[in-house]
Amino acid sequence: MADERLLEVRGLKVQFATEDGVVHAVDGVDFALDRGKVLGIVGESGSGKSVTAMTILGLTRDVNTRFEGEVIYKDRNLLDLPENEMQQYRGAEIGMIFQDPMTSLNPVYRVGDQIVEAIQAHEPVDKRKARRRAVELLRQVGIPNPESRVDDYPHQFSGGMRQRAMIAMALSCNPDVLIADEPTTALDVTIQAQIIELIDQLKDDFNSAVILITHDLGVVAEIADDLLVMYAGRVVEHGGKRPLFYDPQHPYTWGLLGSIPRLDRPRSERLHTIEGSPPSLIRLPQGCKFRPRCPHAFEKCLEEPPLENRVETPGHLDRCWLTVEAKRAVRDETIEGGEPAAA
Amino acid sequence: MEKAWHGLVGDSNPDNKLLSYTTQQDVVQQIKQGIPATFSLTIGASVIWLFFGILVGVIAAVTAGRLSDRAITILALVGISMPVFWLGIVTRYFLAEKNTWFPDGEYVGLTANPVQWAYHLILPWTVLAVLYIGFYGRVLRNNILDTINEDFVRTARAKGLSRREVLTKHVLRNSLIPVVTLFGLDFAGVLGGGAILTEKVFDLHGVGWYAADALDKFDLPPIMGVTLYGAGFIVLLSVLVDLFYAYLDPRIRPT
Amino acid sequence: MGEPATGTEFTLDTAAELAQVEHGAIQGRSPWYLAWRRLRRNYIAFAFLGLFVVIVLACALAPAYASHVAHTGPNANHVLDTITVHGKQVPVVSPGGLINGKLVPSLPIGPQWFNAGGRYLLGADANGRDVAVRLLYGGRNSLVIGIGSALICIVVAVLLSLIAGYFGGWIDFVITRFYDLFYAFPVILLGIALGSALAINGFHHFGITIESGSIWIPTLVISYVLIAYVGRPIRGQILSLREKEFVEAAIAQGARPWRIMVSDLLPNLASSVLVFFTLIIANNIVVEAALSFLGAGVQPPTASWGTLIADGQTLIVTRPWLSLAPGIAIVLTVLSLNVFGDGLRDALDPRAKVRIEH
Repeated sequence: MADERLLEVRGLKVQFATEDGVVHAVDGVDFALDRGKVLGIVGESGSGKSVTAMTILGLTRDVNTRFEGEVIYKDRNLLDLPENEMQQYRGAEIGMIFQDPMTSLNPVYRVGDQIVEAIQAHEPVDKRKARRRAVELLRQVGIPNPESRVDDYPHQFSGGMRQRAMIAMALSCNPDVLIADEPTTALDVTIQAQIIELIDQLKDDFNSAVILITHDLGVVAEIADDLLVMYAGRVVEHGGKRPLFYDPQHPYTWGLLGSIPRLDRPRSERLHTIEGSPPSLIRLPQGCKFRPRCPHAFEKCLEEPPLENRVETPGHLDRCWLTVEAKRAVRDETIEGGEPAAA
Repeated sequence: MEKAWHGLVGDSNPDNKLLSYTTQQDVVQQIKQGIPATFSLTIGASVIWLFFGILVGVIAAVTAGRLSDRAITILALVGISMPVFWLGIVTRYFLAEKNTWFPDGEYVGLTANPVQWAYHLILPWTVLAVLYIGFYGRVLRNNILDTINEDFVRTARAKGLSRREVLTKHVLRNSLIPVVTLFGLDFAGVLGGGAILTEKVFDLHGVGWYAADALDKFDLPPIMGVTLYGAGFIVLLSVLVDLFYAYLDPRIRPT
Repeated sequence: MGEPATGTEFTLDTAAELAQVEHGAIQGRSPWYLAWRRLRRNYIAFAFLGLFVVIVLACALAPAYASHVAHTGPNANHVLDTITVHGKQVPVVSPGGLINGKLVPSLPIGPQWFNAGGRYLLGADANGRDVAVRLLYGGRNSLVIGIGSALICIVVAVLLSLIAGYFGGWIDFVITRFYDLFYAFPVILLGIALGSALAINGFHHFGITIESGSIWIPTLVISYVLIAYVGRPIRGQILSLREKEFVEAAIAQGARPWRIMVSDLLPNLASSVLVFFTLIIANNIVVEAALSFLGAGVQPPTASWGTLIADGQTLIVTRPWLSLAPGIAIVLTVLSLNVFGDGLRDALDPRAKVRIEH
């Protein structure tokens, strides 16, 4: 399959005006997504990953929100589309599933009716046909007895089943891009892997591309092709999954890698954490935004490092002033967590 | 209980009927006579308050933070802060006595003359509805603003539904559920004699008026009778509300 | 940037969440401080709080006004007296009777504003009593009953709900059924049933004696009929607090029930109780007015805003101020409390919704 570019985000900035000041939720994000690929966006809460995803669908539009940059979907800038045109893209071209399946379905409507509603929003089919498709979709996402479960209410479904129903709804109009915003965070560990596998498999069945947002690198390790690590609204590292996992360049990525529980480490060792908390998005620290929490910060970090390619692998970008050699020297210690990072 | 009842109905009362101290009339019979006026008042007023309450609540929520929302919020608070009987006296004075645009009190039967029936009831309907319009408008506005932040509304938008569809099918549908409960109980309360103030002020000879009239003479049996009649209505309507609530919210239906 | 509009779209929620990340400024500050900071910006709420304070002060100074400006007491009749207006002697109540062959009803003097040296500012009632004086004295009674009944109501409701919510089981069952009992009656009907019964004979049980004219009767009746309306939402809040980890931890540590109630549950209820209190005062002032208007509240000759409206009703066509003035006083008082309580709730956001019942 040739690499067909579906989505390209260029220099995206999103700002919210709040009572406390302007929140710089997204502050310069660039990436591209090709058909058949899975892009993982990783970061803590407040890193701007969900806002990025919702902005692609135009769900952050508001009088108090400001946008910069471009979201190009098949040659059209979605940021410029008026609301009624944007509506045609939501669900039909780009589908989205959310973090909490318990609250993401309307409790007062039957699951099937909610899927039917999604189909009828974009296609002129009668209710009977739409319903048959809903049953078929539920079967595809692995709901047992879809013929009868289609008439159930959301509270009659388990958490995992609800997320499956959400996926069925998001895919009901054959979108080319599926955005999954923390789709497994609210689920049991045993269900998490099933949902991720399901998304991966459906991506092939529906011949689409996926943006998978998570705070857990372990979740995307399976299925992502490219990874985007975000911190304080910025991309701090961007590259293919393998280079990013085996040759991570940004100290923040090291912190994320260190916080994945691993079986190949001695059990007595305590799970590594990143000290401190993310910065205020209203008053951002000067220079590198990770500087206050970074154990390797030095004077130069008072200036903001650009996102550029510093290693041999092309396309592997990072935002850190340390030399590649210096990084490789201190990296393993930080990831394995011999000393607390901020000591 | 038995003793208390006898104390109330009097020992020389073979039928165990509840009789008025002052007129010796059967209280139950008197309450029945008040029912047409009370029902006319309640049903008309509730239609007005429900319609305008929802309208005002939706407008305020949709324009939240803007001038119309603030104006509605202040007006709603003014409406809630006005004692209904005082509003009744004032409107009756200005609209029916100083200027005789509306008839001055009294009830005309619906079957006797439908036009006069409505004409005589417009002021009481409106006065009684004002408080509830303010109250429902505020409750609905807050419900809508709470619901609009729910995850399922975001899902509905992500599906590609239009703003209006999201608002009516998801936001409003869910926001109205608590309003239904409120409405059932308020309706029962007013039907059960809770409109005593409006009925007294406008001289509508309904159930509430009967209690108020008895109160002027400190005639206790009618007051007790009307209170129990009101309780009966509230219990009945509470059951109906619970059943309707289960219909509206599938989560509390037995499976 | 001006004051941002409240978001009609859920994105502002995200923004609010993101704003909370602003730990440098907010972290470590108590929720009370944050509420105060939000409240401070709400000028409207403060303006109305100021209005309420002015009304309370005016009513508190009623005796001073009566003796130094109006030169009469709240219950002093002046049916046969005359006053000097612009150098002319005018009867306080002009006698009716057959004048020129027409039957003219007796008529009290209308509002004099400042023409009579501060006397009969708002006119006189049918008994020649100074309405302005009665308005202030009536306000005192209305405010005392409103605030007093709100206080009693809140204290009892919080106590009952704490016991019900904390212990659960049959204790909770009994207390919630007790609450249900109140919900079965229209508030006003229950109020007049109790109020009228007590107004005739007073209360003489359990070694407690309350005379029939006492303003304790409406105070207690109003607090009693509204206990359930305050208690039920508070019990709901306690039930959800009871599930919280810090309460479970306290129980696991073997803390005594009263200790948990006082040091864990009560502080978490404080913000909603404060909001309830404000709004319940407003509500109770209206209920008092309604009961007194019907004759089941404050008993004559004692003045209250409700009785003043009732007294003025017969003269509404000729002397509308008799009813208008106390009504406006009620509206301003209740409105000021409602607006302030609303602002307080927005600032504290306890998410509990208080039901206003008239």
